Amino acid sequence: MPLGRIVREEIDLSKESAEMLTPGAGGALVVFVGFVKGVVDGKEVKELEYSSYDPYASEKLKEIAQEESRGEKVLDVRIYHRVGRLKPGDPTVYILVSAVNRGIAFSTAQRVLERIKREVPIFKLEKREDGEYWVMGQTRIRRTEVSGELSKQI
Amino acid sequence: MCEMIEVRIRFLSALADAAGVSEARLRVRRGVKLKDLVHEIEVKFPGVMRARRRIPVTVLVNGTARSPLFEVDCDAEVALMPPASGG
Repeated sequence: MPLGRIVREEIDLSKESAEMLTPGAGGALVVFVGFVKGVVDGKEVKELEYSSYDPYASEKLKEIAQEESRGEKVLDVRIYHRVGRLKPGDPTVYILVSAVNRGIAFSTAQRVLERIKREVPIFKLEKREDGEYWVMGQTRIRRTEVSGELSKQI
Repeated sequence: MCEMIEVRIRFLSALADAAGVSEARLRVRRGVKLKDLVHEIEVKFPGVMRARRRIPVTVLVNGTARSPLFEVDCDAEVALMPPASGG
């Protein structure tokens, strides 16, 4: 059954994988886990603070899982995205795809990841040794430049 | 039916920094067009107007992206959202 939701804690991948196995039907189960990087642009990352617009973020994750699970030769899709304060090495996103063959499983997992990045209202504040940055799509804006907009009001 | 409605405004991510708050409530005329509501938001929160010059902002009504001509009705929650960055 396709699932998708925002979570705070880590996911038990063994349990999820076991639930998704379809003996006799599936030939592949791809598990993608994203992690917080320790270095970005040559700067040490201290923490990533993820936030989401709820309940719409969970609804969108579930919608993506349902849509992608209807793909040809796809058997099941599960997506979990963490929010909160995460440290380098902490898992951030889990994508599990079971399919008839590995090609379909890999390509579906990659498409799901790209859709998450574009479509789901999840936001990331990157706290680095050289300051805090809002990550927006492919760009970063230093937090003081945005909150500086606030100081101009006062 | 009431002529005036109270709309809940959500500022997401960097836009909360720009607004100085993460949410607010505005009383507006029922059926106000979204572009006019956004203009009112920018008048009340000038930091948001300045931030919009740098940040592409999507306006959601009850979680769905709407056009500037969308008419806002009762029980609306309007969210100003920068580009997503999940993953």
